[in-house]
Amino acid sequence: MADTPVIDRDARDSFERSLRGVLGQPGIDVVAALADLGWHDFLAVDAPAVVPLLFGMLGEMLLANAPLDDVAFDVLGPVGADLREAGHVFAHPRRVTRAAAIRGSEIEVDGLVFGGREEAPIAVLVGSRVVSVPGNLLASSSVAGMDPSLELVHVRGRVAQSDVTAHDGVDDAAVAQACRRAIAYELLGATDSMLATATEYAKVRTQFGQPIGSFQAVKHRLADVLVARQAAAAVVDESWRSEPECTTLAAKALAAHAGALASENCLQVLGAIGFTLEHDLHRFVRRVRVLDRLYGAESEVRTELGRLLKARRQVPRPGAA
Amino acid sequence: MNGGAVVDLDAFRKGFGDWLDDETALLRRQRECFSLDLADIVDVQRELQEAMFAAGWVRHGWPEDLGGLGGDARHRAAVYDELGRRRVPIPESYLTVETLIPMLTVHAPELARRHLVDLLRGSERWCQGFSEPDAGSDLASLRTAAVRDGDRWIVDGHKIWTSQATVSQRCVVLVRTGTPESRHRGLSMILVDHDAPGVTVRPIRTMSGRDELGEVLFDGVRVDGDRMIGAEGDGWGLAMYLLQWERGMYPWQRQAGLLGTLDALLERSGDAVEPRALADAYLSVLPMRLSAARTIRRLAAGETPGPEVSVDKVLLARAELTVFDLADSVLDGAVELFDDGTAAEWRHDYLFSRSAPIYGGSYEIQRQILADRVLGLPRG
Repeated sequence: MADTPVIDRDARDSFERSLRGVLGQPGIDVVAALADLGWHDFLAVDAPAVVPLLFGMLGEMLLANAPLDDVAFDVLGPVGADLREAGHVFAHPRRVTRAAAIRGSEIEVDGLVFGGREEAPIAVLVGSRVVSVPGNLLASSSVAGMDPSLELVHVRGRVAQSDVTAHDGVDDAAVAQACRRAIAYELLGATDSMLATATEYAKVRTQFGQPIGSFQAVKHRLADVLVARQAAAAVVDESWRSEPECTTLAAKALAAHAGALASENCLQVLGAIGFTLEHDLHRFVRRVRVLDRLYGAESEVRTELGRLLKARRQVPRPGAA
Repeated sequence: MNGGAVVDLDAFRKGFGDWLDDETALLRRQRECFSLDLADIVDVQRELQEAMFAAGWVRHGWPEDLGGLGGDARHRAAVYDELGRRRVPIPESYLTVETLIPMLTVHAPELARRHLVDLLRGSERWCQGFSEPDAGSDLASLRTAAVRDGDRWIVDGHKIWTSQATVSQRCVVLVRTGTPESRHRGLSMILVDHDAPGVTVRPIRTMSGRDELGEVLFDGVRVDGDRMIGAEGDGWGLAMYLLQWERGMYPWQRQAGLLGTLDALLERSGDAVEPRALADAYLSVLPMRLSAARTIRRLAAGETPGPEVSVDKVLLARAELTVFDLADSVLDGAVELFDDGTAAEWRHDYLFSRSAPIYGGSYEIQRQILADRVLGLPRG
């Protein structure tokens, strides 16, 4: 699908310019701004063209993450569009499994929603069904956590199956894959910001009479971040085309690794100033940690991927030269 | 399929795969071949090269006027991938073909026309004479010299740690044609026959036990002027051009081999493979596969990928170590303690994997290139 872009290059470039202009404004309401830009239409017709752009920028600029709901709703097709238009938020899982499971006559929900809209109805996947749960039937608590700027809300509880509206036969695996992919782009955006900041600092910060970026130990740390970033980018881009079950897990694990390595190495290059609240680095470090916790943390994702690989006779070989 | 027409890539890949699947006995001989003498290996691999040449497969991807059947690097990449998928080792000489010959087709088409067919069918092998005893990472300090003598060159010097030197008939030598102080400006590239008077080739046994490397000594070797690749003084530019191919196609060839190694481990000892460790190994190879694929597509399209191809080489170094660390752990002592044929082969492969952060531009140099030329950090 990524091989035949629906949106031509000019339209994509113009969307990118508008996006950057709008999202760059301080205190922007991302959800409203995206609706004005026609984001939902772009997403519906050519996700591979616009998801990398938007989620890269969200990570780069540390913006709120509500558009992840749009990605989930988009995969659900007309059902998802109806849920979104009816004001639903989406319950995202912390783990590689779904955010809800059947327990007898009840559904047990344990998920995270964005944007602090505690009263909104909640869409949640239960197996291959998407159900609409009235917000007041679940316990919800704001999560400040490591990155309060994400305004996450933890929703959990049990609801009777008779109290929810359900739509059957949705592609629940595709929702998780699309969300993992989007988060991977966001992690790459955050990685890029950290790498750019530390690289600029290494050019101007002088010790022993020379810029610290001239020392090989510093060069290697930053080059390692670049390599990890490029490795993750190669996989996340391929994940639109082939073996999405494996490649989206791989993309999320590698992007989380790139983000973690950037956090560690860029902090080391920035030194003490990078450890203070005067510097923005901590915001990226926080964002990367929290994003890693959605849809399975890196170690859990790696184990899940390994389980899939073991079940095969041959490991998958996505992509070709 | 012996036709001269360039078929589309997917059909080509499928056609080649089907052909391989009909060659069970041939493939088995390739898989089972193991020796600590490189000469034994290349002898067996020559049978596969002859067969693939006769059926036309390895002539795809090379220009028709040079003895190929047209197409581009993607056709060659498909051949290597299909071999790896079937756990057939890629013939050693194709590793140097992929490094040296793309440069030759552009900068010395006459030499390519004369030798390409023999290189592809395996009746001839070349090596790449770059490193010297005092010029490893600091390649531009090399001292092997070529001095003009009428319409010939006289070559004197010493190349070392040259891959496949002992089984090669010719060597592409990076030589100094300028003053000793000229650094990278005074270098040229020249093709020297190993059987020319004054050339001595000595094997170097490596940690893996095999004579992977050799040294090539030149003592007043007379080389015809038409053996110069490009023009006098072009050596550094040619070396940089060639390194793009080496850093794209070699990692591609190795990803095919490494994914085959993972398949072999799953088949042999699937129960002993920890999912997490398997994923770590797979995730060390997958990005290299996709990044190298991108580099090859760009090279095939005539683009110049430039210094960022060092990413592929850094990924390669980590991937080799990670996959064979997994093998060592899964094989549970066979690599260290056993002496049967399979154990000896795993031991060789494990030990050879340790060299990946050194050859073809060290791990340190690759990261310095990325830091200086991609990130733009100040030179030390």
